[in-house]
Amino acid sequence: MSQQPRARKDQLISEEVAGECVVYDSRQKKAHHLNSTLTWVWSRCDGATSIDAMAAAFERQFDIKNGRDILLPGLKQLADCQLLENPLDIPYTAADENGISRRAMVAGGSVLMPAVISMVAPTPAAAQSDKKPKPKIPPIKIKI
Amino acid sequence: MTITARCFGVPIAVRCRPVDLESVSAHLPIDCTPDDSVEPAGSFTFDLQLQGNGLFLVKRGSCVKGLPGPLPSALRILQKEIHICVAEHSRERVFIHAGVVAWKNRAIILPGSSHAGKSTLVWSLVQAGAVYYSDEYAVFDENGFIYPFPLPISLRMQNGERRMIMPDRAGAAPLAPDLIAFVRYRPGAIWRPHALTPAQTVLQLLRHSIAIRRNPAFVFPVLTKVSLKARSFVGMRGNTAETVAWLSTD
Repeated sequence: MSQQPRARKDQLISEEVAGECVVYDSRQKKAHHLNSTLTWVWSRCDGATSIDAMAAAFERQFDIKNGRDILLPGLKQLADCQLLENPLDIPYTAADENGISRRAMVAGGSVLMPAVISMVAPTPAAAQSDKKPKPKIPPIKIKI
Repeated sequence: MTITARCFGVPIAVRCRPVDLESVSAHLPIDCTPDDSVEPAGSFTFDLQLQGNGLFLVKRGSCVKGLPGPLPSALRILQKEIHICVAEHSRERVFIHAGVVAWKNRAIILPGSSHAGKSTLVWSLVQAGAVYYSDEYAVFDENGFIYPFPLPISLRMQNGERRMIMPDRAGAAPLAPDLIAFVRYRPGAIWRPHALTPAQTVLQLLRHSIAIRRNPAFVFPVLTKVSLKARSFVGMRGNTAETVAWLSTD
């Protein structure tokens, strides 16, 4: 488990646009929109900065306390989107099932909440219609 | 008989009967120039084949496209398939499924899926005085400028039939994108658009991008440039009148 998160670079194309980031993942055929907070977090994932140091920098940057309560859900979102190279050892209590804890909401207010919107890239035919690409469903194994 | 051509840099070859040559040529994409140097073996090959039952079949490579039908409907299938192929493989232009008009020299882009009411809105804008650019694709160059792709507008009538209309005033010059509106039709909806950030705009444009899977390294930077040049909005519309009035306001 890594406590010095590193942003994945392989098979990713990213563009920072007006403080927010859009990422295309060629491996998963997915696009992600990171809001400004999550863009800040992702840009600090250099593989050398610890989570504690990142949290301290976050508090200085945004002039808040308990930066860790916002940072950890953000890192979890990045990990869930496979935008980090290594798995993270994030305490589960820092984030609820939706990735944002009540403590984080108190710490940063809704403006600073990290957020990501993801979508599966359309096939050429799907880009013209309402049909969404069918997700790959793993085969069901039935034990008798 | 084989027609070879190059369209937005994409080599294509169409095999058909000599007697169908003229009809096939008339259905090739805009900016498609006959090119004898194109080798059928190294190009995207389509076939228009007459079947024993008198119906025509369209194939891309070995893959059958659509159902066999009379010549006019087979030609429409052939044209659509060539368009998708060119839109997917072009390294010169980025194709977004969208309607496009120019209003006072400002490009208005209306990305949308089929059945989202896009053609109706494009036709309403043209009737209100806009210059027609496209009902099918917004075609961008590497700097994010938009080019005309003026095929006839395909309007669905209330009886389910389609009516093809070619507006009198079609644009010719490339334009900078000024306004992008992601509009979806819902009966009775009131047009209350909300603004998108440039990054949100890129994600929405990707949703309608034909070549994002094939060529993300080219598509992605172009859409970023487009998102920074234009204001973007998303919303549901009911009738076209209020949306047309809003879109055509300076």
